[in-house]
Amino acid sequence: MQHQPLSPDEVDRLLDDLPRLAPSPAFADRVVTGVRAAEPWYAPFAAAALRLVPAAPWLRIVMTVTASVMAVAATSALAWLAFHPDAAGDIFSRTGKEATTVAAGVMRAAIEGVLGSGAAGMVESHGAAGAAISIAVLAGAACLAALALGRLTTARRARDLP
Amino acid sequence: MAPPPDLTNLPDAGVAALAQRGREDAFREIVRRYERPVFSLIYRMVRDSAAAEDLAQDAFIKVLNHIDKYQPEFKLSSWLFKIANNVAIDHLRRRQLHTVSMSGSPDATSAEEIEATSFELADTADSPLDEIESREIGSAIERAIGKLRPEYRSCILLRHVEARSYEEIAATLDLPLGTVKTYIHRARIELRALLQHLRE
Repeated sequence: MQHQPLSPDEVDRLLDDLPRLAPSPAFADRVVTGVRAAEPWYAPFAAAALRLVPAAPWLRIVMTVTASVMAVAATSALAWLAFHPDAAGDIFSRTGKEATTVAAGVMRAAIEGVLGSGAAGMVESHGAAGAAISIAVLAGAACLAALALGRLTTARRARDLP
Repeated sequence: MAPPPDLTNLPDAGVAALAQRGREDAFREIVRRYERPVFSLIYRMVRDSAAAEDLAQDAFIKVLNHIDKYQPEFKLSSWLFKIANNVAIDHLRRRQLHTVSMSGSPDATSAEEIEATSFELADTADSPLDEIESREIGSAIERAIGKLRPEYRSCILLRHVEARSYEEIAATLDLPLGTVKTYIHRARIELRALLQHLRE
């Protein structure tokens, strides 16, 4: 027997009549169980802070008193520095010098680690310009790596976003 | 305190806004509204009811876990169908399924598996004869849809079962409008050829 193809209208009617199928009755419960409760952005920080609070009441009192003393001391120190600018300048100057020395050491170690000791010596001999160039190169490499990683992550996530 | 609104009367955007605040009843309302459409789409894509249920569950969990990213100017249903289609396509890529059967997965090896992977149509016919005829036609169209390419399947199901416009299908599946029209046109031609045995 020669079969005639169905007309387009007949195919459309068959498709339109397709029923919707139902999952099992417990489907909604399983979905809701699997959903993480939506929480505000600060919730993890609040939870972490709460974990630091001790259970014993006397420990809470000690913690409260210690925190209060530290807060008062820090506020007083800042107020004193605000009214004694010369002393503050001296402190920051010494701290700044020490920080610069530490930063230079870290930088040299990073350049040695990435580019070798020859490069570190060359950067030192070229002074500020060399340091600037090496920082730029290191920062550029880090940015490129971060960009590539970000692209990969975004492409994966974008597929599932509305 | 104001009583909680009746969620069944709220539009999708309103329910989604409540879900964004972590309301479990809003999650349930979204699932209630879309469990059948999402499950139907995924089932007809993967042809295995147990896998379809797991995948539909994954799709809902993905959407509800990222409900904070939902923007009301988009249709919630389109986002759900997009995720549902993605999980189904991923599943098909992992495991190629070719055969269609209303009476169980082709991979079922025992009576329990056949029962677990079969499904019942929601509509029933008026008489036993009608039922047999209806099941035969229903089975044929289901089988024919299962033989289409997955991309054609998504398009034709969204168009006919979910009554989506071409533009919505294009947005949902991230396809150009022209491609959607072509897929649906070709799917209809293939279905006509696959269903020609129904006309005797």
